[in-house]
Amino acid sequence: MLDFEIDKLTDSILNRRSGDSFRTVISLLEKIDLKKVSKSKGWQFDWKYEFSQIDREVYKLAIVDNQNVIQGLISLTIKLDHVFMNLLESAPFNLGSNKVYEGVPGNLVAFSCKLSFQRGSDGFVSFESKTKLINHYIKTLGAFHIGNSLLVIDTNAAKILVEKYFKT
Amino acid sequence: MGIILEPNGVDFVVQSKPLTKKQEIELSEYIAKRKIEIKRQAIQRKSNRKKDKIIIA
Repeated sequence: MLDFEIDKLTDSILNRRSGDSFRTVISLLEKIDLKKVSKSKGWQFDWKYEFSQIDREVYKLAIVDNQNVIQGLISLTIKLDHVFMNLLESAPFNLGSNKVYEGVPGNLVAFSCKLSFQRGSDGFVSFESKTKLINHYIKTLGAFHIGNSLLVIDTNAAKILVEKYFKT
Repeated sequence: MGIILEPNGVDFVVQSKPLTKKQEIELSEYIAKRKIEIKRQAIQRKSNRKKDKIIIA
């Protein structure tokens, strides 16, 4: 697995109580992190399994000044012509009506677009969506619904997301 | 700096099933087609800008 940090700083998660935004960092999930993101800690998906898959890269989002706490995770597969999003999950405390931070998923999706540009896929990202969220993703991410529950973010939408989230 | 908010009462979670061979092919075809369209649009925009410049000049 590659071992480098990409796109260190964004101002892209918002504390819902204070209204303050916090700079975040996205980096590869490490073995030492696995105990923090287990089902017993309230995470929904099996991130240990994701981490063990050689065709997948798992990234974590954290606040710059508090990097021990993982705010969200994303599992990506680099395909020949795009980046495929296998899983995306916000930390248990960032779910539901009492979530602490807003903006974690959008941040991670923007990151996947940036990675797609960096890996030569022109920003293209695809993922599967729950039916009830398809319209939301079309509206907020600029994604295209290409049939069944499959959505695609193209170069134009990816550029907007990357500009929205990442300082260059 | 923008933040995309989740709709009230909805958590944004992605859990994609692995793509089938058929889906892989359809997706690649769509992406290839869309990449060409986007490149064409970019060329068209450049060409329009050039035309505008000539008219102004």
